[in-house]
Amino acid sequence: MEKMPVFVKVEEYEDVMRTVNSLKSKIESAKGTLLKINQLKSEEDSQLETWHTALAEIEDRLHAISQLLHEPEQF
Amino acid sequence: MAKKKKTTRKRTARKAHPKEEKTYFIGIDDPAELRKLILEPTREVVQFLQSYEQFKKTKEEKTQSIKQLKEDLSQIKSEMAKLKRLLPAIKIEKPARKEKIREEVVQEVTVRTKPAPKPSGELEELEKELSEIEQRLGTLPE
Repeated sequence: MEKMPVFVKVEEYEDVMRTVNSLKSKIESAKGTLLKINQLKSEEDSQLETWHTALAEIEDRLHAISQLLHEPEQF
Repeated sequence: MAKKKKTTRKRTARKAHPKEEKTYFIGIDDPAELRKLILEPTREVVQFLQSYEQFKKTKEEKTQSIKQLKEDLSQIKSEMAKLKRLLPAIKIEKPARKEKIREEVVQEVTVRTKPAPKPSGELEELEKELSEIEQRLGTLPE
């Protein structure tokens, strides 16, 4: 198939260029928002990891308390 | 009156000591260590709750950002539609050879895939839109 040239009116061309520029800025904004979501997700993941570690530590300490109370050395 | 008081006293005395229980004591070698073991997890739980508040804020912020992204994308969609309106519409003839191949592929796909459950509302609309775009893209020459 042959490639045919297409002509656009100058007024419409200006409108098209305005829309293209607006689209560019909106895409930049969307990229920024996506980056922010990614950062917040990382924060959430890191917080969950901290909780996981803290809970494991609490469990360890509880185990130590339980050992201290149920199995005294000189009994 | 005095007789009645005596009878109640006897009853309570029987209930208070039903069995004699032996009391045992366990020696704690290092009470300071035990207190530390109890206090440290308590401190951690308090810190945990503090960070939960922060987590809640982050989650709210994330939800807000997702809403913002959806808004950004819908704006992009409308701008793209505007761009499409502004540019001249040209009818492009479908390449015959490609169409044959596409038909074969579509037939294969219809035979293999099971009917999926119908999505509803916005999702269905988006899927329809997507299939329309894909159809148009298929008609364009490479």
